[in-house]
Amino acid sequence: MAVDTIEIGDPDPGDGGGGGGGGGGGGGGGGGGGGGGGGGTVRVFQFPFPKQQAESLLKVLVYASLSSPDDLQLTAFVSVDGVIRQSTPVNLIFDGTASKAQGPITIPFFIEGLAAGDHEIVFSVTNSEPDGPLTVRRGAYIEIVEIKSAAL
Amino acid sequence: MRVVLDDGSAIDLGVTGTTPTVGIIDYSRRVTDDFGVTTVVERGFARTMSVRLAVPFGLADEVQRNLARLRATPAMWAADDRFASLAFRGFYKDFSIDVAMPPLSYCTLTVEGLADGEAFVDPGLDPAPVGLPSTLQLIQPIDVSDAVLAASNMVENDYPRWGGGITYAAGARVIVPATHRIYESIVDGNVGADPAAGGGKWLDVGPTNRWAMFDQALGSATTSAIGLDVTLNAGAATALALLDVVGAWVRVRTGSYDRTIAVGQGAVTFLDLPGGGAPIRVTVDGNGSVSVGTLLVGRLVSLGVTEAGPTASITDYSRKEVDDFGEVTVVQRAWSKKMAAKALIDTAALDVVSNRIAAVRARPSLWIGQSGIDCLTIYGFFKDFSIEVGETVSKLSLSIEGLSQAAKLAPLGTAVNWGDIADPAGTKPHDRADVTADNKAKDTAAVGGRPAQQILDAADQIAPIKIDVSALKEARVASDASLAALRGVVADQDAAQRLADQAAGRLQDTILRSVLESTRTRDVLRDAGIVVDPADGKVRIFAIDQLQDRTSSVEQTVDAVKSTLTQKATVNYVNERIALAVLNPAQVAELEPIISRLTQAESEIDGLNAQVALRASAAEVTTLAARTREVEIDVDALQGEIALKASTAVVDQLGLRASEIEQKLVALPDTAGLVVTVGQVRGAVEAGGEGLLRTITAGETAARYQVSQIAQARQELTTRMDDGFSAAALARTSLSAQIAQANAALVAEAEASATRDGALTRRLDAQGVTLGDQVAAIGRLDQARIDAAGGIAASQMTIRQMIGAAGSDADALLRTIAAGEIDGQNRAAQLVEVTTQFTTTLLAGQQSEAIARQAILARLGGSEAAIVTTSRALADAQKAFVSRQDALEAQFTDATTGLVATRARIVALATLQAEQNKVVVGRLDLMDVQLADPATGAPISGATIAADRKAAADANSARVRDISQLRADVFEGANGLPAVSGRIDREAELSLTRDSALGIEVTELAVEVHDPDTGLAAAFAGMATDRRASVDRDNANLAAIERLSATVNDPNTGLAAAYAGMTTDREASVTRDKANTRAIEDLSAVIHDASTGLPATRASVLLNKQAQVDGDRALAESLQQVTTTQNGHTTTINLLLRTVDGQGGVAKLTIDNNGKIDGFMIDGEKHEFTIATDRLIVGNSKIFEVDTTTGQTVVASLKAGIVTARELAASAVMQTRFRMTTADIIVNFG
Repeated sequence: MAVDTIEIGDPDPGDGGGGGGGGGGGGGGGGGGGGGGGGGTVRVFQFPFPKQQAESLLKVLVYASLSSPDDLQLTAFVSVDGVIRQSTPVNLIFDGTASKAQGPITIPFFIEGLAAGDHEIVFSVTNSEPDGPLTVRRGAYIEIVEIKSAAL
Repeated sequence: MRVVLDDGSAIDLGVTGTTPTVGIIDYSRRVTDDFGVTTVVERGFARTMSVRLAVPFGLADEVQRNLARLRATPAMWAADDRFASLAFRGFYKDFSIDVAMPPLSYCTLTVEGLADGEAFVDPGLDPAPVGLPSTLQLIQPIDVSDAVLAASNMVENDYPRWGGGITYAAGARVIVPATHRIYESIVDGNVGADPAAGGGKWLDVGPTNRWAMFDQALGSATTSAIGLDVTLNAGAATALALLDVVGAWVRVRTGSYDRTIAVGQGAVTFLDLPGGGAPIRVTVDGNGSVSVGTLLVGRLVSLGVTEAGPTASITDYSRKEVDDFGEVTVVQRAWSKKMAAKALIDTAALDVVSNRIAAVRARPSLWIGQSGIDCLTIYGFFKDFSIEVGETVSKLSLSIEGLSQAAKLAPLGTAVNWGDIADPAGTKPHDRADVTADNKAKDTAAVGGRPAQQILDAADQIAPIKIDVSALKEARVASDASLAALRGVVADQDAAQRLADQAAGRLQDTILRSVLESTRTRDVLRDAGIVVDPADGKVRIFAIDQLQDRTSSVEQTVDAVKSTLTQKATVNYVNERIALAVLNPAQVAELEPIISRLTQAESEIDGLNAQVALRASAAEVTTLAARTREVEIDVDALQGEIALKASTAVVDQLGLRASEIEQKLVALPDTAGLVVTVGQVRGAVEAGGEGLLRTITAGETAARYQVSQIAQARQELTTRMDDGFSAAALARTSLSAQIAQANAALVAEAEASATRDGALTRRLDAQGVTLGDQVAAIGRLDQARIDAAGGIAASQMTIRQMIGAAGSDADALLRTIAAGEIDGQNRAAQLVEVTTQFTTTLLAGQQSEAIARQAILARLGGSEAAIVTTSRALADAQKAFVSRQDALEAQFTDATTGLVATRARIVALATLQAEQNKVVVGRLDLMDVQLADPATGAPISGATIAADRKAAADANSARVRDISQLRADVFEGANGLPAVSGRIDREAELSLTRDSALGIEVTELAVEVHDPDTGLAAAFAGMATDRRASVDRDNANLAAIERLSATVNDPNTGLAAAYAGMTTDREASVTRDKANTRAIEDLSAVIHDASTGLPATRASVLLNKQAQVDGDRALAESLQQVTTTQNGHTTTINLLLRTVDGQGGVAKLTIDNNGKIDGFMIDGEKHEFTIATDRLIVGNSKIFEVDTTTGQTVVASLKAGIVTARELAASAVMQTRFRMTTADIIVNFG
């Protein structure tokens, strides 16, 4: 199967909405800077995707290594053109108050019915752990595959 | 977002979110086919917008209901009233409501506007965000016309100018200055066809060299060996660009502006012209030849600040294919540039940018993504564009596709161009042939070089058949010489009166003599004696015996002086009572009965005059009657005459009767004759016979007697000789009788005469009877006359009966009947007549001719019927000729006006002629009925059937022809103009020579309805056929043309409103080494524009088939073409099948939709199947689809041996994009 692989390069900046957070960057920091701290929800990835077929399926695969001072409680979701298309809660709760939970997760999303054309794909994470910030470690990876109708 | 309906009500759908997207749907056709040829048809456009609305979660249902209610409902959709691009009238296309996340739902709505084509007034502002200059620019070029091109050093003399009177051969090229185009003749003998008119005889091969750089097309260039120097009056143009420049530099001067740019690889642009309206002079020069592909001059408009990362690429139209067997096909074709760019614009200028782009949707323009970068400078069209509308700054996404340099293809390419189809006989119709009657210019070249109109012309050559029917008129007016003789034969009233008077006078004289003799009857006397008188040479011998009632005396006298001898014997017997009566004649009538008799006989011999006279008379009076008798003979030697006469008269109770007969014999040296006259008359008076007798005895004149009966007869025999020059004998007998109103007359004349040079006989018989106003007559005249040169013999007979005007006397009636009908006033109220004429003529050694004619006529009042038959036989030294004509006519004439109301005629004429080496026979038949207004004579209706057949043969040829015609007309009663008419004509002809034969059959059928006021044709339907066959020793030809035509005209203008017609042309011809057959069928239906009369909507079907063999060459081809035209749009479908020499063939089907060509071609020689179309779809469910516009091929189910990634294009099946973070991201709680 021929696959057109395009490496976008640098991660998108965080949405900068929170401003707080331990990251060095702050809002809008791009490139290699640390992601900006989010006020509960942070855009991990945001970039346009030129969908070529209306009938095709978008497979969004996200890998991230997460860590938390206590438990891992979060909601990961993908929005397209500002509309949330799919979300996944993660609840890994440990005993104690400083469990320092950490681990990799891989989350697949499948999006159907999206018209052909340029779309804004955003992967966001909402931290629902009240006992500390959630850290999306460097090297988080998102892969968007348009599986065209001919292959379905 | 607010929706305002047509009824004024408004619906609020929600709050418009940020970044709505606007764009347009362009209905113009800008299609570039697989060969890179771009077809442009400008049409309207519609605005579109896609908005995202924030809707309260709980109102999602209501929004859905509202939108469902608004489906297919035009309304004003206003997302933002500030911008026309966000507030326009239209329909929503689709919507979706995302209700996943309360408290807000989001409705994504796409709205499409109604078609818009309104002019846009550009305010000229720069739409770039405040503080930034636009870098994305557009040159909107103006059309360079004669008015714009002020000067050029290029002379337009590529080829000679086209001339209407010049004949051009195939391949000849001309220019037309009006269009600045070059045309190439595609036929031989091309004359009079304006190339610019598109008549099909010329091929537009491109612009002239002077104008090539202004034709807005790539691929054509103005080339000059001396440099280019043009001056343009381009108004307020602010930019100029030159594409495909070959040269060293370009210099532009306008006003104070003077700039020179060296020519590089790409476009040469001048984007800073002052725009002051001064003439713009452009100079291109270099070493050697220079050329400019395209020169654009116009207004430079801005479209925003180009975002970083515009993309540039090309579209390659080359073929790079690998078939199932691994064969690689590579065909290099044209290519064109394309680019995609984004630009930031001030949101306030949203409409300006949108309108600027829409304004050039169907006009090739120069798009400049970044000045100075050639790959971002593209001459072409935008493919699509959209604007994401931000709060203050909006983003324009624009895709541009350039034009290629591919030349525009003729339909299906030159390989199977219609012009390439062989046409050795010059009979092939031109492409898109059209033979409709509304376009004569096309028509004349439409059907194999043989105009369809020719058919009608041939049919019209069937001249109306006419026959001389003057004989019918002669039948009514002919007089008859034989009947004219009756004029003098009617009973002679005067002669009869004279006879009666003489008879009465003799009776009166007898009575007087009786009275006188009575005086002597009282004496008795007897005496006798001889008296000799030597003195006077007389001797008188007498004897007398006188008794009481009778006196007898005898006397003889010899007179030597007079040389006469006279003898006289008289007996007078008178009744005694007369003798005793008083000598008063007035009393004689009182004497009854009266008896007297007076008899006398005498003779006289006159030696001197050589005369002998004998007379005897007797008179007798009784009480009932008085009678006289008298006879006499006169012999006159000197006069050569003998006269005999006898007469008698009787008066009795029946009246007066007198008879007389007289005979004269005359013999003179030059003439001799015999005349016998017999007459009888009867007179009557009211008082009866006794009264009459008393009247006579009273001495009254006899003129008072009324003649009541007459009978007369006269016979004459005469011979005459003229000193050795002539001799003649004549006989004439006339008889007449009359009583009261009845008359009868008869005359017979016979004449025989001879001169030294000729002889004549003539016999005339005429008889007529009249009674009151009725008359009947028969006349016959036979005569023969010859001389040394020839002669004539004729016999004529007329039988005629009539009733004339009341009150006419017999003489007048006979005059009328003898004279024939002279004029209307003398027209008989009732007439019947038969006339025959037989005439032979002989010219010695030259001509013999016989003519027989018979006419029958019957009339009563206005009703009249006539038949005339004429037969003629003629022989002369050169020919023998015979003809026969029958003419029948019946008519009815109005009694008041005398005008003919109805008339029916049948005429038949047959002729035969034989010459020494030629013979001709012909027959002409005509049947005709006419109806006319008896008050005005104007025609009402009529119908005619005519046939003309002729056969001829000579030593070397034979020819036969048959023409038949049917005509019918109905006229408007008010104005006499034709209302409805129809005709059927047919002409068939065979013409043979010793080595050739020709057969022709032409028919025409036409019916027509006319406008009642103008007489102009309102509707016409007609059909004409022309079939011909000809052979000679080396050739055989067949041709059949048929044309059907139906037309309805506009009653107001008389111009054609609708037309439907079909023409078929079939032909087959062979020679010893060539055979050719073809068939052309052309169907056309046209609706015309009422105001101009020009075709507005048209549908046509053309079928052209041809099979041809020329020696070892063979061609078979078939072209089927269907075309529709409406409102300036034309679509034509061509199906071409052709094979040549058994070496392959071509099958081609094309659809030309207003210049955009779809179709396929199977080239059996190259073994190629070529398809030109945007999408190729197989199966109703699209199991296989090739989209040439996108280059995509879709196969619903593919069964293939091995398909490797090599055969799949990159990103064909899936595309993947990914990203990776390079730093930790901290997500806080909350």
